Amino acid sequence: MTPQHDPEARFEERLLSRLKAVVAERGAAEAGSEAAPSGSAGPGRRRGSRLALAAVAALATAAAVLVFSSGGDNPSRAFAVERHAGGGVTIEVYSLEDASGLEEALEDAGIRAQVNWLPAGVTCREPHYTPSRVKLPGGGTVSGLEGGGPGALKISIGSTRSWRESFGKVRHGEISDREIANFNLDPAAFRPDQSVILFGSPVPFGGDPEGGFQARFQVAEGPVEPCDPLPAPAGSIGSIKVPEGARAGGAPAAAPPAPGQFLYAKTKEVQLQGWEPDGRGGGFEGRPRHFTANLLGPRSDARPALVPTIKEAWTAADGRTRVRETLGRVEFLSGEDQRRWEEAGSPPPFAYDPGEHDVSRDGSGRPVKEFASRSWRGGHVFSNLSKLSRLPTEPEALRLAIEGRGGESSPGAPSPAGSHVGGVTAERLLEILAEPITSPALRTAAFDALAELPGIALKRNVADVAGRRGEAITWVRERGFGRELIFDPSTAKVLAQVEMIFGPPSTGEYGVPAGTVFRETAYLRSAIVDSKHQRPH
Amino acid sequence: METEQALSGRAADLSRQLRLVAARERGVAAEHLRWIGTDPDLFELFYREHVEDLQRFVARRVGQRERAADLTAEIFLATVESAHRYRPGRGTPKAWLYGIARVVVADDRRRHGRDRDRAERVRGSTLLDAHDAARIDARIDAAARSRQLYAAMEGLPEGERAVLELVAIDELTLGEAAAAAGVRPVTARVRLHRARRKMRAELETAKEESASEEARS
Repeated sequence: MTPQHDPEARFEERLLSRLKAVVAERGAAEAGSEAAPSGSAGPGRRRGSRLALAAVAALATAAAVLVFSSGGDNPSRAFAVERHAGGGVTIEVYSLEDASGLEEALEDAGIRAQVNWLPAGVTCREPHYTPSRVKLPGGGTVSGLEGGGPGALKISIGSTRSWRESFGKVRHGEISDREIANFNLDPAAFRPDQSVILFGSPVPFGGDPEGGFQARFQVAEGPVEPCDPLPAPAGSIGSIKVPEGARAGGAPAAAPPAPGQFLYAKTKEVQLQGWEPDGRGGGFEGRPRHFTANLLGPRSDARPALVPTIKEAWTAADGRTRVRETLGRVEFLSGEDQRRWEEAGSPPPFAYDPGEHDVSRDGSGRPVKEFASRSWRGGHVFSNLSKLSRLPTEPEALRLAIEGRGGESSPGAPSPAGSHVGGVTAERLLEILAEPITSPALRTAAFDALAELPGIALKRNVADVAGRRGEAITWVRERGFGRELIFDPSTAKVLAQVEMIFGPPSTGEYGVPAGTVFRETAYLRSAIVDSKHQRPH
Repeated sequence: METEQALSGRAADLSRQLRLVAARERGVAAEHLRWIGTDPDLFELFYREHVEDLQRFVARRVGQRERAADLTAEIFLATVESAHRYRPGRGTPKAWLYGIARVVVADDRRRHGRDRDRAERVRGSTLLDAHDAARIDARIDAAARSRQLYAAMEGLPEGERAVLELVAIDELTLGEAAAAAGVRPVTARVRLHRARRKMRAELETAKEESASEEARS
C-alpha cells in the first residue's frame, strides 16, 4: 500500500481543519446563546399553554377509543386501525403476522398494498414489481423508505396537509412526537395504477435476536407479482457487492480529456423549491424574490414546486468548465398552485430571474444560462480531473488518501458514516462514484471502501427520476438527512444521486413525510469531445 | 419546550442542508455568506472555492513564504469573524473577500518591520512543511513582477492605490474593485484614472533611471 496523500493540498488542508475548528466553536457558542434566552423567558407562559393544550390532547385520545381494530377481541392482534375524526386512519403494527389482513385494512383506507412479512434471512426474488415514485401534494416525491426498531410500526393514511398540521401540534406541545406515525401515505398522491409494497423482517433488539423488526415500503407501478421467497444472498444485507462484470472492466473505461479536449456531461436535475406568492424581498437590494429554498421552515407559506433543469458541462483537463443550464417546466404539486403561479405571470425561479442573473432563451424559448466556471462542481475536492487519476485503487488506501491520513503508521478503522469523519469520507467516495470518467479500478475501490463504512446500506430495485431502474447505496447523515446513489447493478455505472429526508424513527420531523426527495441529479450522458461547443453524436 | 426547540432546530437544519447543496454546486452564494462564520461545512466550501486565488493574491504582495502563510490564515479568520456583517447588496463574496484581504495585507505592511508578536489563534506559518515550502515559493516567484508593481504603488494615496491594485494586479473588473474597496463605481473610475496617470509617470522615470544606470556600467 503506497501512502498517497495529495501533495498539492497539504498546507491548505491543515489550515482548513484549524479554521473549521474555530468556526465550529463559534457555531456552538452562538447556538448556546440563542437557546438560553428563549429557554429562560419561556417557562411560565409555556406551562400555561401546555395545560390548555393537554385538554385538547385528551379529547383526541377519547376519539381514538372509538376506533376498531381488526384484531377484535383478540388481545394478541397483529395490528390495530385507528380512524380519525377528520378522515384518515393510523394503523399500528405490533407483530409481523396477518399480512393479508393488513393488506385489506390498507385498501379500505385507500391504499392498494402488498404486504410481505418475511423471516430473517429471506428476501423476495426481484424484480417482482416495477419501482416507481409518487409526487406528494406537500412537496417532493417519495419512492420508498426504511425504518426499524422495537415496538409498534405506525402507518398513517391521510392527506399530507393533515400530516403537516399534526406536526404543528407536536411543535406546540399538544401531542408528543411519539404519537406521530412512522410513515404517512397520502392516497391523493397515488395514481390508480400505483400501489405500495411493504416489506418487514425481524431484526435483533435488546439482546433478543428477533426483538425488533425492520420495515420498508416501496412504491410500485402496474402489476405486482406475488413474492417468491428465497434465501437472501449471504452478506447482502447492509453490504455492497460490486458486480464482477464491473471489476473485470465492464464499466466504461475512462481517461481524462487530453489537452484541447473536453469532458461533456449532461445531467437532469430536479429540485424542490417554494414559490412565495407575495414575492417578498430577499433579492439583491431588496428586489422581490419569488422562489426560496426555505420551503419547510415553520413560518413558510411557500408553495412547493419541482424545478427541473438540464445541465450540460464541458470540462477541460485543468478543471475549467463551460456550463449551460436550461430551465424545464416548473411543476407545482397542486393544480391550484400551478394556476395561481401562471396567473401571476409565471415568475421565474430565482436562478433564472433576469433581474438577478444573465438569462437568455434557446430556440424553443426556454430560459438558458451560460457561464464559465473554474470548476463545474464548485467545491468538490476532485473537480480537477487529473487528481482523480492519481488516487489509489486499493479500498483502504483510497479511504486513507481521501481522509488525508495516507502517511500514518496506525491509520485505524473506518468511522461510521453518521459521524463527522465518516460522513466526510462517505461524501468523498460518493463524489468519486458520481464522476463520469472514473476508471473501473477506482470505481470498484470506491464501492468496496463504502461497503466498509458502518452505516452504509444497499437498497434493491429502485427507480431514478429518468425512470431507469437499479440498486441504491443509501447513506443517512446527520439527523435523518441522507443520500441515495442509484446505480446499474450490471455495470456499476452511477445513474443518479438523490438527496432526501430519511427521517429519524419518528419520521416527518420537518412536516413532510420521511422519504421526501428534495433534490435529484440523473446522469444522462458523458463523452469526450473536441470543442467546448460540441455535443457527442 | 425541549420538543419545540428541537423541532425549530430541525427546520433550521433543512435550510442548512439546502444551503450546502447549493454551495457544493455553485459556490457559496451571496445570500448564504453570513453563515460561513458559524457553519464549518459551509465555511469549507467557501474556503475551497477561494483558497487558491487568495494565495495568489497574497503572493502578488508578499515575497516571503511564512508571512504569506500567516496572512492567508489571518484573512480567512477575518472572514469568519466578519461574515455576519456581510450584505449582499454591497458586492459579491469575492469582492468582499478581496476587500478584507487588502485591509489585512495593508495593515501588515504598515506593521512590517516592527515587532509583530500578536497572539494568533491560527498561525499559518506553523502549518507549513518542507513540501509546502517549495510549492509556495514557486507561487511567490511567479508573482515577482506583480510585487514590483505593488511596491511601485507605494507613493499613491490610499484610495487610489486600492483601486489600481485590485484592477491592475488582481485583474478585478472596475465594478468588483469598487465593491472590494468600498467605494461607488464612479469614484473608482476617477481614482483609477488618476492612479494610472501618476504610475505611468513614475514607471517612466524609473525606466529612464535604470537605463542610464545600465549605460553607465
